[in-house]
Amino acid sequence: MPHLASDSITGAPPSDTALDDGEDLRIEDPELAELGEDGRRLRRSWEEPGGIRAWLTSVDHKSIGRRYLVTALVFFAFGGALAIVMRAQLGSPELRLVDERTYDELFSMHGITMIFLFITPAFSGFGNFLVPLMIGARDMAFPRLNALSYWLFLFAGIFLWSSVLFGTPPSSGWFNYVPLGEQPYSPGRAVAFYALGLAFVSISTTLGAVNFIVTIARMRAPGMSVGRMPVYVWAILVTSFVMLFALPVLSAGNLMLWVDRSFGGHWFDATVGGQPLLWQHVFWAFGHPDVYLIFIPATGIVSTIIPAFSRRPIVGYVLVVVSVISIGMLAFGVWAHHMFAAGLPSQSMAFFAGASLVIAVPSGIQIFAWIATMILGRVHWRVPMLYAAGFLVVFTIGGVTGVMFPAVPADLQVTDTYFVVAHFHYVLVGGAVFPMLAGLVYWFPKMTGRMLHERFGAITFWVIFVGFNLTFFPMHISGLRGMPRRVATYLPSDGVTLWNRLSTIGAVLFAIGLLMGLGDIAVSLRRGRRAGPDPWRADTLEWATTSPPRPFNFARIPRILSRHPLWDESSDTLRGQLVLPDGHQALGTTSLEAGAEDVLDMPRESWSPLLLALAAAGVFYGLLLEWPVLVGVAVAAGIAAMVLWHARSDR
Amino acid sequence: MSVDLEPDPATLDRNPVDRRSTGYWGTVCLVATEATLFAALLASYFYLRLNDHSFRPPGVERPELLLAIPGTIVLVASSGVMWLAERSARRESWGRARLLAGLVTLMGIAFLVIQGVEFDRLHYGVGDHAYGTARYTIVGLHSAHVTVGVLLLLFVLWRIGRRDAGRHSVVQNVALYWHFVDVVWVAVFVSLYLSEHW
Repeated sequence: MPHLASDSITGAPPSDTALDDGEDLRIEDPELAELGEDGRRLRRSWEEPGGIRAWLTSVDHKSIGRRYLVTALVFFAFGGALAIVMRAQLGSPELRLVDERTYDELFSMHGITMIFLFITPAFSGFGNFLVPLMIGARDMAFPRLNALSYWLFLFAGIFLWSSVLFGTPPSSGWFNYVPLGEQPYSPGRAVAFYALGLAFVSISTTLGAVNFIVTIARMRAPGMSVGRMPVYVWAILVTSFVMLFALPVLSAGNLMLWVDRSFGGHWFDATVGGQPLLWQHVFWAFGHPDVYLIFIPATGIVSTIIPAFSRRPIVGYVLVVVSVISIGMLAFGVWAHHMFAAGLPSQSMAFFAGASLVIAVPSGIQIFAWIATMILGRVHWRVPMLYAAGFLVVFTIGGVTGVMFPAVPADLQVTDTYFVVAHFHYVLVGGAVFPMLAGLVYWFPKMTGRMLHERFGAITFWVIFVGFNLTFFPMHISGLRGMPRRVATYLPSDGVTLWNRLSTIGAVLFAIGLLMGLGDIAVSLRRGRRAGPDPWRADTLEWATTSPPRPFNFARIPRILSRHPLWDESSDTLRGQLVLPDGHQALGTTSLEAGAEDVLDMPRESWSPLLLALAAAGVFYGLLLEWPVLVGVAVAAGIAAMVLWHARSDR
Repeated sequence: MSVDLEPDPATLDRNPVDRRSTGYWGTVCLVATEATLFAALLASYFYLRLNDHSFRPPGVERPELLLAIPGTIVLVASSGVMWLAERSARRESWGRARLLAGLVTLMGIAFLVIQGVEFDRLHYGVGDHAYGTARYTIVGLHSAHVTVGVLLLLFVLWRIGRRDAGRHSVVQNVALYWHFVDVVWVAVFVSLYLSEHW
């Protein structure tokens, strides 16, 4: 049990007094000044050019992480706006604000946007910003690949949303079941946008996953053996492996769909040997692991925040890590519980039902570890902790309904009703968005150097918490009363008017809460209190450097002696002596023990990632519009960008 | 077990080019994800085939082995040659490495030509039945991967000519990709060709 330097989280960090607003942190940095000439050289070799050029060429994981977050939040707003229109439509029976076709487009784009353009990239944003800091590295292993992942995500998002400008957004749901998604029943470009757009965004996510794996395996500060890695880093590692093996399954599905639609293929056409059910298998063989690649990074955030505000290490570190790993593996064996109503053989249903029940065990272990940490520690109810506790409540409710689905007879009763909608919003919003908001408040000081407003933040939390529950809890009831999802309206005689009205009021409240949070961010960015390096007195390495961190993260590469480097008795043990001032360099370490192994010259800012991503966008638009010339030109441009990329890596 | 927490940078390797290089690790990950893509497609193929006794419709000939077997031999042998090329690169005999990589390139092109001839001889298209769709999708995607491999090999040939340390990594990573493409072909060959003759 490490000794804690201070048992309370004080308001004003002590080292902060010398700094006035607007002062350049890097110049006043005492650690850099201490290093003298080495410090100046370090700064020179890591600083990136300013202005618009910095925007287009930066490879700094911190800028890329922040961009990921901002872009994902913009898509969150888009997806949220769609949801508000749907709730308005369902506010009273037989409203006709939008027609059925538009309603189909609304829920399809809502699902696609929230899953692929908001939650997953937002967690990539956190990971990008935090992982190198938490492991004491100077950057990701592949900085330019990191920039490429961001640009591909941005262009894939624009690609998917440009379907609205073309007048043909996807309208067959986020899981696009066939035969509805096939050419005869969904003519036009809507499904092509879906298949190509998801393949496009999958490339971005896959490259990001590769980057995380190699970064975590090779770039940890000396001494950070696998047993000392923060749980959050474990979570990102496991998530990345899940991505590596789940996303290609989605891409395989989208390839088959595209072949069927664009080349007259028959993968899913039962009349000539294909199988519609194959799409469901392939989609959910990706789709269920996808649920966990949303949930696992969220648990990583929770496992970071709860110990920090309970003033003690997480209870059962090893058990929690083993749970995270086993969730990652079990995630691949449960997909058919999405298909119990599809007519599978009963042995097969029994297998998937069993596996789905088993996965509740590691999830439960984590929940008990969090609760035990809170009971055994002294909880400080700051805003991030409120969100973490809110997550525990909401996610547990979602878990309780989740355990009902593997019971096949119960599942058959509620399939395609609002009960399912209620369940997955409890696990997705509760299980992912609450931790994300917790993380936003918690790391905002590290990202921007400023604190969010504490009191206002607490009020915001309660508005969001009440709004969320008011939106989604009544859906359990409307669902049990038989209200089907994806139907544009209902009748007064259906007996669900009250519950829908409550949901709609809740949605408005939820939106108000989110806007309050946005307002807090907007104000605090300029006027928030200076945070200082470690406002929460937390244990992980990102708090050992300035807020926001300098381009090289750590002037001297930290050395790690425990799981909680900042809670160690003497903070001097943290400070290594290694500077590597001779250029843009990072330290490579061995993958298990993190012994120093090699010095790596890291690439600097570059135009190639942007050019390559633009070429990729050209390829996807070419395939969409079936313009072979555009595809050819874009492929040539892509090869040129890769040659430029490579030419600039020569050392 | 203790690790050196205060290493002297002068004693550490700089930018390793062997299996420790981050580039190699990244290539391993990308190969793993691409392999999963093929696994998913082959699983889909078997799903259709095992669910329907007339998945290959009556009258459609069994896949020919006459061309596929020589193609397989060429591709598997090219992996061996690639291994020799990589070994030569490790031993710094770059002339030999270049020669062998050139040979691999030609073998890759030969495989693609054989594939082209084979597609040309098929009596059905991608749109005739699900069997044809599966065949064209899977074999076509593999051919696309071989094409990328050939382009990478051409890049290797050019890259060896530039005398710097990075060329080690390039040879090693492209070799890994090439072996992967060959292993996938063996899986495709067994699943789509050989197993139809049992």
